[in-house]
Order: sequence, then C-alpha cells, then structure tokens
Amino acid sequence: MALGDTSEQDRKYSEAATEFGPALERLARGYEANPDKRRDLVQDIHFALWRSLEAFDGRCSLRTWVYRVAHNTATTHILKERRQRGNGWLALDEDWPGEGPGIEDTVHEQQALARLTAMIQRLQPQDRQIMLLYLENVDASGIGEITGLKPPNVATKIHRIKALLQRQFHQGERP
Amino acid sequence: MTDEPETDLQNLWQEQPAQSPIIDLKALHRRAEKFQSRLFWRNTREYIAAAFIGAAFCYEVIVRKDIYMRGGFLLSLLGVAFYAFILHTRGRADREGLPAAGEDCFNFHRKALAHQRDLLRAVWLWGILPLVPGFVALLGRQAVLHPENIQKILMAIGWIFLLFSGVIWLNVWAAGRMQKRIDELDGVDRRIEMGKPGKWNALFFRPSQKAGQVPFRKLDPIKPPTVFNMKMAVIVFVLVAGLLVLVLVPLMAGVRR
Repeated sequence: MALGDTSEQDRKYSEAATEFGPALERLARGYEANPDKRRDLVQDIHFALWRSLEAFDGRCSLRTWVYRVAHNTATTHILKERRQRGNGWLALDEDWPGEGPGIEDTVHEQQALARLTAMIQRLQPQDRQIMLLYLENVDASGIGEITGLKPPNVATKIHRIKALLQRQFHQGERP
Repeated sequence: MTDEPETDLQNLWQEQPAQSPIIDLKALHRRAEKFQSRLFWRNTREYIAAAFIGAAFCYEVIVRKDIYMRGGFLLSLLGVAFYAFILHTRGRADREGLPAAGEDCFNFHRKALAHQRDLLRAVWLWGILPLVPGFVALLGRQAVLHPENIQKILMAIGWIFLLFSGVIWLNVWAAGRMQKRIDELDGVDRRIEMGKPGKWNALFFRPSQKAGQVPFRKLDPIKPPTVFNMKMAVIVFVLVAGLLVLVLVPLMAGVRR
C-alpha cells in the first residue's frame, strides 16, 4: 500500500532522531533488559515517533513530544510483557533490597550503572518515567508536561528519587 | 543534600555508550506500508467471512418453505449484517477511541484502558446479542415442529446459554480489572499529595473505598467509542422486536395445533 507525501514528516523525524536518538536508546535500556527485545523496542519507538509526527502541530516542544511518544510506547511494551511474565514492580517509597558501593572509580562506575539500570527496570511504570526523565536532566515542569502529573507532585517524586538514590549509592559519603 | 552527587549519577547515566541512531527512512516507510496492508487484509478477511455466512443464511431464507424457519434465518442474517457493521465501525472506533501517542503519559494510558474497558463491557451488545434472536427463533420453531426432540433442543439451548454467559462473564471480569487500573491511575496525584491513607485519613474516604484508594481527581470525560451510539440501539431494538414476533407467533400456532 503506497504512502502519501511524507517529506515533512520525514524531515521532522530526522531532526528528532538526530537530537534525541541516544536518549531514546538509554530510555529503552530502562524499560527492557533483554538485548534482542530492547533492539525491537528501540525500533518500535522510532516507528511510533515517525507515525506520530504526522500529527505534531507544535503545541508543545519537540522534546516533550518525543519523550511522550517514547515513554508511552515503552510503557505499553512493559505492560504487555508483564501480562506474559507477571513481573512485580516496586514504587519509589517502598523498601528496596540491598545497598552497593558508591561511584568512586571506573569499576565501581560500571557496577553502579548496571545496578542503576536494574533498579530502574524494577520501578513501576510511572515512577520509572519520572526517574528516567530526572536522569536525563529534564526539570520538574518538563516532567509534569510529559507525564501529566501536577508539578508539586513531580517535585515530591523527585525528592523520593533523590532519597532512594542516596540510600542505594551512598551518595554524599564520597571522599 | 547537595546537587553534586545526583549530578554524578545523571552524568553516569547520560555518558553511558549509546549507539547513534541509524535513520533509515526507507525502512520506516516499508514498515508503515506493511502496517497499513495488515489492517486492510484483516478487515478484508473479516468481511469475506461475514459475506460467506451471510450468503449461506440467504440461501436458507430463499429455499425454506416454512415461513417461520425463513424468519429465523432472516434474523440470523440480520445478526451477521449487524456484526459486519460493528467490524466496519471498529476500525474507526480504534482510531477515534485510542489516544494519540503524543498525549501526556497519564492521559494516554487512562484513555487506552478506558477504550479497552468499554469494548469489553459491551461485548454482550456487539458480540452476543446479534446472534441470539436467530438462534432462539430457529430453535423455538424446531421445538414446535418436532416436540419429540424437545429434550435435545432444551439441552442445546442450555449449552448455548452457558457458553454466552461464560463469554459475557469473562469480559465483564476483564473490564472490572481495567477499571481497577483506571482507579489506581486516577488516585495517583491525590496519593502523592496525601500519602497513603491511614487510620485518620480513612475517615474522609467513602466507606466503599478500600484502603489505599483515594477520591478520583476530576478528568475530562472520555467519549465512548463509536460502536455504542443511537443507531446501534435502534438496530438492537428492531432485532429484539422481530424476535418477539417471530417466536411468539409460531409458539402460539403450535399451542393451537
């Protein structure tokens, strides 16, 4: 089946993919641990983004739009996966098992990154969205715009994220 | 708490090696074409199946001599036509009822859940009810014509009733689960503001609410999918009225005989 004229959509997509491609790849890591499934998820996100840009009218920034599409696609993916695997998720304010070393050197950095990724993959969807956006340096109002949560509640969530990260990675105890 | 340690983790996260995206527009176009073509063939398959079944019922309507059996098959034909109409509108309902991927995450998931819930709740209307008048009319007439087979006919009715009830129950149960997830989503903002409701907070919640649930925040009403509109209600009414006429008349004729 032939598509219509997609040149404008293609241009917007190229712009978005160039600017946010690496961030979308990192986002997929927070949602899918299996490398093959993660590759598929990245492709799904890019396809959803390309399709969605047909309807993008500039009412929000391109960054907000890209993150919304990516998180919506990835959350739909994990909800489907959960139905198949029945994995349990944790909220930010629950008791998280185990603590590990802080980030003092390269070896610890790699361990910390692996642990951080594993921790994100256990978060319930909404907390995961906020955590990933926080790690990408998106501010509270931007997170609110993307997730649909009220800004004060985003601030509360970010406070919990900081507390959790501090507990898990001994933040603040570095020499 | 200073900002520096958090920045470390943010830096660590952002500096991890990530592949640069390969922007293959041709691959995206191919995928979009495949996607459109899959939808087209899905719809075509369903229309062809409905046309085959409809043709079989048409044949019965023409060749049967018994006017009530003709009526039964005509009702079945109408049921199939109704079902085909639902399939036709389903494509539109999918497009209109489902949220756009660029909506904020909260609304996107709430609308997607509400769309699925509404489809599940109404399965009796679009999946079961169109078939019932034809079944009842045909089996009722058989009972009148062959009273010696009444036990078999009653058994068949019983099995069909059980099957339909089971399908409806399963769908309503699944719709209930969707509603629970919607309620959880609706409570998110309030839960963050108020914390989890404890002994004292519980005083301010409706008694029917379970612990952990909170009053819903006000949301834009969700438009029901296109399949549940007035046209449908009129068609259902006509079908049910036809059923009553076609079942009661032969039964009364049988009683007189």
